[in-house]
Amino acid sequence: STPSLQVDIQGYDVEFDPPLESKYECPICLMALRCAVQTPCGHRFCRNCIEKSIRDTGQKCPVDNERLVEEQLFPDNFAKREILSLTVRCPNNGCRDKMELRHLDNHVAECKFSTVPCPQCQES
Amino acid sequence: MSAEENECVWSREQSRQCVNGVKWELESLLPARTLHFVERIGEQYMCPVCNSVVLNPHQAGCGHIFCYQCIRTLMDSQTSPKCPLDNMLIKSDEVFQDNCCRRELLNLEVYCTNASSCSHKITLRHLQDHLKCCEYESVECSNQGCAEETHRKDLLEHQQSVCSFRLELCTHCRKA
Ligand SMILES: [Zn+2]
Ligand SMILES: [Zn+2]
Ligand SMILES: [Zn+2]
Ligand SMILES: [Zn+2]
Ligand SMILES: [Zn+2]
Ligand SMILES: [Zn+2]
Ligand SMILES: [Zn+2]
Repeated sequence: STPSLQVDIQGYDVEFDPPLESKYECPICLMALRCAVQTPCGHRFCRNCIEKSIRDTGQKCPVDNERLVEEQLFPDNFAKREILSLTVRCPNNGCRDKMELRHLDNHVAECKFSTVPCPQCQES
Repeated sequence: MSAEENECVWSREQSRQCVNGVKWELESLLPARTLHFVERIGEQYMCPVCNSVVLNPHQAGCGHIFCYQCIRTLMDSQTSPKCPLDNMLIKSDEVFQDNCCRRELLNLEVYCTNASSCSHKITLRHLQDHLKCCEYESVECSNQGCAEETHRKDLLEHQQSVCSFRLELCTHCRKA
């Protein structure tokens, strides 16, 4: 019952400072784990990425080919918390602010450098 | 997806004794020893119950990582077990064997547990193998009746010339 729009959301595509450690990188989308889950073989993925992989390429872990079904995926709340507390740079051109990933959305909503769609023509 | 759909973690745990070819005999080996890591280890590897390095790490729904034995004891002894760090309810169907944490731990460097005499540094993954040949590991004399322990390097000397249970050739008939 996941809305179809959300199915393809991958990891966090933001610049980490210092750079993201590989243990928090999704082996499928190569971005920071979003909604991290862990497999019984001890690998971490974005939930969306691994669920899509199981649907498209079969019931196995893409890293070591261990058998894997969706029911074996556990939310890795340790990794999730760690990732949300990492420092990222605001993606807006001209803005030099840095903040914890957990605060990025709030910042971007208020960032002076955000581009907003023109109310007349809808272009940014 | 809700965690309630997950099968019982304990039974799955028992079916997976082996991760990456390292059998976790360490579990039985380590409680009697003190591990000294070469680099300061992250607080995420410390069990909130026993305050030692997590043995057979299991992660709870709150994202904290416990020894298997510690979280099991917590869950068996209380009707609504709570995480000592954040007071969050520990639900058994959210607890899972954290093999990612286990792998990270196994890759950390430790000093030999006989470090007072032995100067070896190895990854935790290789500690067990090292102890099987460490010169300063205590080994029991295999002579029948003898309960003495010596360092591995001194065993031969003990068995040949110190052990009171050693068999000596009879000076008369030359038989043992
Ligand atoms: Zn991903
Ligand atoms: Zn795997
Ligand atoms: Zn900004
Ligand atoms: Zn413990
Ligand atoms: Zn907790
Ligand atoms: Zn040694
Ligand atoms: Zn002896």
